[in-house]
Amino acid sequence: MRRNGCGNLQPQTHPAQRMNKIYLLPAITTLRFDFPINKRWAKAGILVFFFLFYTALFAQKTTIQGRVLDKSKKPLVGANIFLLDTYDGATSDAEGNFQFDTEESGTQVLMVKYLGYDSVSQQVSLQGGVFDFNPVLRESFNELKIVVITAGSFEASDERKVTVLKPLDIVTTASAGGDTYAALKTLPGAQVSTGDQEGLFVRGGSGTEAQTFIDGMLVRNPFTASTPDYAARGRFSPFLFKGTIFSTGGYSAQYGQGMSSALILDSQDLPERSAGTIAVSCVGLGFGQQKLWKDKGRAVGGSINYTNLGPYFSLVKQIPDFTHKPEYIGTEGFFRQKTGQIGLLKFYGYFNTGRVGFNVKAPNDSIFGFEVKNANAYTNLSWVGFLNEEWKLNLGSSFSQDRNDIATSYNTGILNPDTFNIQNSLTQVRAVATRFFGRLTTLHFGGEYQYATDDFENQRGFGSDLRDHYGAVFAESDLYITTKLVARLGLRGEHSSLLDQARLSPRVSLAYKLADASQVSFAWGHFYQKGDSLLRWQGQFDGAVPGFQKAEHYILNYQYIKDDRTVRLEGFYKKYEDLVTTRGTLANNGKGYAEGLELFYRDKKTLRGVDYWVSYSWLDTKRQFQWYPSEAQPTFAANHVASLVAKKFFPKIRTSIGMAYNYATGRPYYNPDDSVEFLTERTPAYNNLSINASYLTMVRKAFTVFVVGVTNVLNQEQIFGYRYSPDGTMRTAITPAAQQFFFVGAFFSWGTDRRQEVLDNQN
Amino acid sequence: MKKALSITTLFLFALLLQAQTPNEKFVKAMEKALSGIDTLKTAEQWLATSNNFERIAQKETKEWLPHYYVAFCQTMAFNLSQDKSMYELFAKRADDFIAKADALNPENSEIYVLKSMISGLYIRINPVVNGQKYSPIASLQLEKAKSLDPENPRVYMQEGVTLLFTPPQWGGDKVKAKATLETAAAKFEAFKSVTNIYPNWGKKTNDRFLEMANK
Repeated sequence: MRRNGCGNLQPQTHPAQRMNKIYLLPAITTLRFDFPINKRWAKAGILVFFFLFYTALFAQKTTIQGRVLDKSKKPLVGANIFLLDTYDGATSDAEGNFQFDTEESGTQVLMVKYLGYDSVSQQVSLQGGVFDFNPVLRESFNELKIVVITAGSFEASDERKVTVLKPLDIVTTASAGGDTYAALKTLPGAQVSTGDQEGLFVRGGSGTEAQTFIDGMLVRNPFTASTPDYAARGRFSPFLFKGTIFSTGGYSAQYGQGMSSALILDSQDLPERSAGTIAVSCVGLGFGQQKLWKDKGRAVGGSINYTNLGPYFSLVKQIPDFTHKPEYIGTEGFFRQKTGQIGLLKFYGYFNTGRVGFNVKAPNDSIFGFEVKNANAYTNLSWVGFLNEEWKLNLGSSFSQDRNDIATSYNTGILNPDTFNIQNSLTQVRAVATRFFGRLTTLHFGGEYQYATDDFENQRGFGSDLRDHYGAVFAESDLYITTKLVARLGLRGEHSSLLDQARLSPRVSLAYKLADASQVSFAWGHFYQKGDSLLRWQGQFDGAVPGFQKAEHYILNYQYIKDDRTVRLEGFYKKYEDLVTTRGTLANNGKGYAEGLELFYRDKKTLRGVDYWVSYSWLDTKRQFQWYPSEAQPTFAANHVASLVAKKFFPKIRTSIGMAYNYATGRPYYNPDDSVEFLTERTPAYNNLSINASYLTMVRKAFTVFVVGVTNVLNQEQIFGYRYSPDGTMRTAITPAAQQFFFVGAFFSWGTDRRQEVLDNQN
Repeated sequence: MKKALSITTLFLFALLLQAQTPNEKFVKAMEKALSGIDTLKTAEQWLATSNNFERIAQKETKEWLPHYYVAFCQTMAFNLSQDKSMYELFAKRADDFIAKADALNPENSEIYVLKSMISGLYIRINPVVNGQKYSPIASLQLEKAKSLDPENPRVYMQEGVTLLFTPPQWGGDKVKAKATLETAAAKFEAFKSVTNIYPNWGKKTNDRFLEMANK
């Protein structure tokens, strides 16, 4: 490699002064011949002559030549090499070589610009002859080339480029029916056949071990009112969020109180424009409106939704006898305001009431009746902004309250009808400061405080009222050692006044980029969690409150993303300690483990116009917790789970067709017969083929989507477990309320063309 | 006194000529950069031409045309490039330069046509994310270009191309596309460039699109 004497190149700032007077030359040449020379002009002529001589002396031609290379000595073709503030320059050829002549002289600035690379400039002194210039360029910041930590996490985001999912994937998954949680069940790590309980059952963890966070803050009641043996849906519409991170383990120290999983939801910023929507479906009606101010600095919006499954249930026979068909009415509203150039204030409020009641035949022909009335309020107020280029601040507060009035009836003669009143609330504040070091490395630190209440009483006079002051502080750094190697080091300290305990959780993740498209990452950490609603029963025992439960995660991940193809392989080991047990006394006597291998493959390329993903999870887990007499595979864990999700758009008929096939091997169920070893029997395997279709059109001026969907198209029997008669001799299967669900709906929108989203998502 | 006056006169003349000469030099440099622009076939060639305009732009910071042409060359490079990983960089750079051109010469029809084309680039980079945002922006920019100069043939060409390549269910219409491209062809015939470095591209391209619309 040729090198000139100037040695290393240093990017330099543009010097203020420019020697640039050569263009006087032709002007003065003209003067000399156009004016008659007399005595008076002679002196001027001499002046001009000296000036000419002076300039001519320095107006020698310099040839600037050389080769442009990148750091790995690869030639760069098409780089722009030029003298600053002049027209003189050239473009490098296929070998990176360039050459150009200039009549400039003296101190000049040579500059090299190349798209995707940092520019280089160098002050040079030109004195004619040949000047060698061999710049070496460094690649600019490019998200695609930077390693990110992927162990344990699935991200759906429009803002970041390299994500496995986009937010719309969640909405359009056939088996999900627009429910975020149901869509996430098609990803590896989550159980798909837990249709009898709400929540995400991740890697051998129970539903309560997966927490939901909105804008960093814990959501205590993310599901609609819970009923025995029937899963509830998530409360919040997926359209509220611009980004979703589903962590199946090893998540950030900024979040806590979930031993298995964290679902981290980022709410939308200012909308693109004002819009209105109307939704009509076989289960309800909805109306929404949002307004964006002209200066695009402020927006307000709200919606009201009414859901009533009565008409649908009178058409499609349900297994339970509904005493009150599911009915919900909900309203929500938001306000978002830009503060200055760099801040955004957001408020979101939600209020929903619901009622559902049913009778189920018990195995001995007795009737079990259940009815719940639920009221839920949720609010979230947050501000995010940059203090300067180096500091960012997130502030948040949230208040939520949930009330369930439950009435149960039994006519077994053993148990009496009862009513329960369960009420909880959560008030919290949170602050996180982020310091940026250079382009990549960050340090986050902050704290949160939560005040939780839990009140419970039944007709027979039993009650409890728990109060907990929970505080946490955390610090975490994403330390980029190179663009290919990152370490995330985090520490979280937590204290609960109710448990009267403090815990420190270290968490570490590493990721290394193997090549442009592939990388490996590793995660390890400690995760603590309170005993949740079990603690409510402490009064029934000796009053002792059990301490934090603990899980330790080890995760190894390989990810390859290129050209619309994604491969993810992940192996994990999770160790549980101090799980809350309820045998005799409430205590931390439980333990367990989970280990497994998971595969995710997504392909938008091989089959023309078809986007599909396959996920498979193998899980081996055992635990002793709650009332379990010994360590066993829990009732919510299937050993093999697989899903196939596919979508295709047919432009000619403007229709998008989606399908999802979910499979899981049988789950353990409890048989009270003492001769059967505890939890060794399995339900039949779970199969569910769902299809949906959307037809996109215009109705007058409204962008319109007509949607139809059917779950369990093949009408395969789904059994989640069994209810036994008190003497254990008879049983009935726990099944969905109906084997199939049919959905017909139409969505109209003004201002925002949702059709385009649906269409584009198919490509 | 007289001597001082004469020297002053001399310098005034020099200054006067100096003020004109760079402009001539600028026009010459622009003409040189524009020569052969009709014959460019590859993204690399467009990028090399873009480099030429960028060198002029960095010297002539008050002239909108070199900035405009950098944005134009980046747009053309995007259209011809096979390297998807570069798309965003091309679009971003085109966007930066057209913004500078717009600041130097506000309310110009040619600039708005190019702005609309650049919005189209963003849509192509990521239809899911950018489609909803940029589709209406692109059509508003084109409307504005038309209102600024209804005789600009490139407005109609871009309008026709959009109609031609948009799927029918989203408002694409081959018949309308043909009519619009024909309007463009007529406007191209009538179009008189303000100077020989003023935007004057697209006539041949329009004919090619018209052929496609006729099929």
